[in-house]
Amino acid sequence: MRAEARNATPKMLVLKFCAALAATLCLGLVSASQACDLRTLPGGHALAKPGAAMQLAYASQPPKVESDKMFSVVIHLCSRQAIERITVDAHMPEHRHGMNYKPTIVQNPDGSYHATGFLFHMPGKWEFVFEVRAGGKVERFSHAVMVE
Amino acid sequence: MRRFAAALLVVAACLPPKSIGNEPALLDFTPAERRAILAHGPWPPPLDLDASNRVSDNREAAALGQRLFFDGRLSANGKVACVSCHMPPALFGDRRKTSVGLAAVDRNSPSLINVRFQRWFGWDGGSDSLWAHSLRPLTDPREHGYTLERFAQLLATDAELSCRYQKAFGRKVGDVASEIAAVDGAKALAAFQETLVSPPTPFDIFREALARGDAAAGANYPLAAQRGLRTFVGKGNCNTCHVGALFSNREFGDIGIPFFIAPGKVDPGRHGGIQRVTKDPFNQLGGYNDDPTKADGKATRHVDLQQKNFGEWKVPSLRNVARSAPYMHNGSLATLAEVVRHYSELDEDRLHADGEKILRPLKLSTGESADLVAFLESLSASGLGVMVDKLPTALARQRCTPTAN
Repeated sequence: MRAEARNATPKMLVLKFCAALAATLCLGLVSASQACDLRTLPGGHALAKPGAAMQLAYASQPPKVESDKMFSVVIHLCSRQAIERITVDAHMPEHRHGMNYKPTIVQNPDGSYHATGFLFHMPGKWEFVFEVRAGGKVERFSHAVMVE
Repeated sequence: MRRFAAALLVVAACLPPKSIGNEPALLDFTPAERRAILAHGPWPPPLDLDASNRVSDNREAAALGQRLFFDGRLSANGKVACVSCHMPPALFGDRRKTSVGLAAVDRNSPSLINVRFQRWFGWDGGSDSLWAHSLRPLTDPREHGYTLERFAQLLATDAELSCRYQKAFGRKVGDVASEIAAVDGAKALAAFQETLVSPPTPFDIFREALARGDAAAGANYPLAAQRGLRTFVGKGNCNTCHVGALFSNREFGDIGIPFFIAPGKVDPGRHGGIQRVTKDPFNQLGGYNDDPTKADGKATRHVDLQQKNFGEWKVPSLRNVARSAPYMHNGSLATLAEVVRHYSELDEDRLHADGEKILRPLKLSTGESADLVAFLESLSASGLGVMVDKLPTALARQRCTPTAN
């Protein structure tokens, strides 16, 4: 049920390198919070952790998640270190089950990530879980949404 | 005395509204209950085209499909038609526990009414389009025992079918490979089944009244059904899976129905369905999908085979449920009262340990059970159970006039 992006192909390596380079350059010029500014991600949710070396913002597409309808997620990451791997999953904590679908995640040319293949098959509380590995460390972000 | 009168007033305020004699009444639904109720409509939902089927909602194709649907020649013995297990008087089911084609099968024949609104087709979701699902029973040796070659041959050699094929698809059967012609035939069958849409029910009339704030009209909905509806969206949590206008989340669940079909033999349900649909050459990701973007293939691309899928079955729509007995994938429950009892006295030991944690015995009282049945009965329309004006019957009855070349 977990979508995962990692350095799999030479093309992806190049893309990731460019993205990492761009992100590094970007981070050299602006603070992390500015890089993850929600203005660059309309309708998004910023998941910042105090003291974390990384910030994550995500937005679902379409912005309102409805049960029984497929949707995708755009993820923006700001990290002082190159991203080695990112995974995303979702589950219903109260029901103790996940999705019936396994999203796939790819990196966009602008360095953001696009995960497709989400479907929340029940109304209620769902929780997105993002795990990002950078500099040998894994940072975990989660965010709950209520789905009608 | 004043205190006593005040106490009486408080007690009266806490009592649910009752009908006085035959006077109708409306329960005091909370805002949350109203939201939950309104989420079950409006009906019908938009009749979206099936992008994977070039003749989706095409009347000529639907007329061809209707003819094929009733044609026993689409079988090895010339006697088994789609209608053999999907009979109009049985709301396009067959009222048997499990169906019989050329031989007995293991599953109940589901009603085809509103089938166009599904994402997955069949109890195990082994097909991802209505047209692909229409091919499946044709070639199943226990159902029609037919072949795609013979199907194409029939379309090519029967003057009436051949004429209709040309009108629907704009080409002659002989101009395409037999497999493509057979898939086209299945797409025509799908176009016919798309016309099977149920009309609004007493529940829909109530829901509309609630939506426009018409308490007087809403009060015409029987109180027992109102109480059952309250249980459905409240204590029963039935709307967790039976969501939306279709009363189904179009996915799968394990509700503790045994899946042994013979000693030592099980029906794997969704677990087998996922394996089948992902390998199916006629699935949405394949070359027979008429949509070059394959947008509707997302579900098939991303569906995840998990151990919990073993013994999971499609969450059926509850529309027309009172008229589509028997129930469950194996037809093991004969009445709605038995279905309600199943959930009321649920055997949790039969559920997967790693499955949903939302099912528990509802422990409904006799009155609550009866009310829930009354509500479920209000989800059925009268008559044929379909909107007759959508059927292509008149066109199907006309003799086909060949198109001038």
